[in-house]
Amino acid sequence: MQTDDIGGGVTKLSLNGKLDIAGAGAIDMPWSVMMGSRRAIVVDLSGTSFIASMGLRTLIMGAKTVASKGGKMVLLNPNADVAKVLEDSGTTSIVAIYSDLDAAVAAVAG
Amino acid sequence: MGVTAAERIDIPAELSALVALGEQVERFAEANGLPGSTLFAVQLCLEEAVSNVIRHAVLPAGARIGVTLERAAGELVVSITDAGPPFDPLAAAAPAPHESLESAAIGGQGIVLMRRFCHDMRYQHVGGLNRLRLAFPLESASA
Repeated sequence: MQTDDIGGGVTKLSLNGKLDIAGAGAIDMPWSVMMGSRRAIVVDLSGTSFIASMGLRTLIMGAKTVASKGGKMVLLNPNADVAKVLEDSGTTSIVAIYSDLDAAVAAVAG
Repeated sequence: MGVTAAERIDIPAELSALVALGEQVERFAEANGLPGSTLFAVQLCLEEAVSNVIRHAVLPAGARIGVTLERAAGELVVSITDAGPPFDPLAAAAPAPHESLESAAIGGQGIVLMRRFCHDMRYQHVGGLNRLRLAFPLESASA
């Protein structure tokens, strides 16, 4: 997990590799810390090669935590397979996906 | 045409075994020239199905889970067997759709995803074993 403060109070988190059970477990602690401490988060999924329901759990729990503190988390640029998982699981109905960084930043900073 | 490639993988009934299983499936996919999207679908369904067995079945100590990959003309068939009590994952009720981020339930999406990512799922309890058969379409039988 890579963290970049990209200005305007917005944090970009890049999740690279597999968000399978092992991958979701590996980022659990730093991920929770970020979700609990930042208010405007763009999660860059362009380097995420795999996701299943445990990874969805990570994303949804994070988005819930951020929202409960009055902030917002959105997703950026998943590959086609990951996007299909996000859509078929209904995740896109509760967490927005953007294909453009500027639009994602505007969505969380607004 | 019959099966053109087959592999049987036996793993301990532990979540940590999923990593090694995933690597073996990747090698099978590579050796058989399976498309990336098929590999993704197989890995997704295996993670959901195997973790489902491990979390929900009361298995005897030291129990193992069998995974068979069979490539035939036009499809890849993945079978998962375990010796737990009869449990049909296909009988599980679909979770309610998410209504809001605040109220969204966590979990329950595994079976939904499996239904979307494989084109045929069948469950049987036979010879004391749960057997879940998942089929994935392949465009051509050539590697």
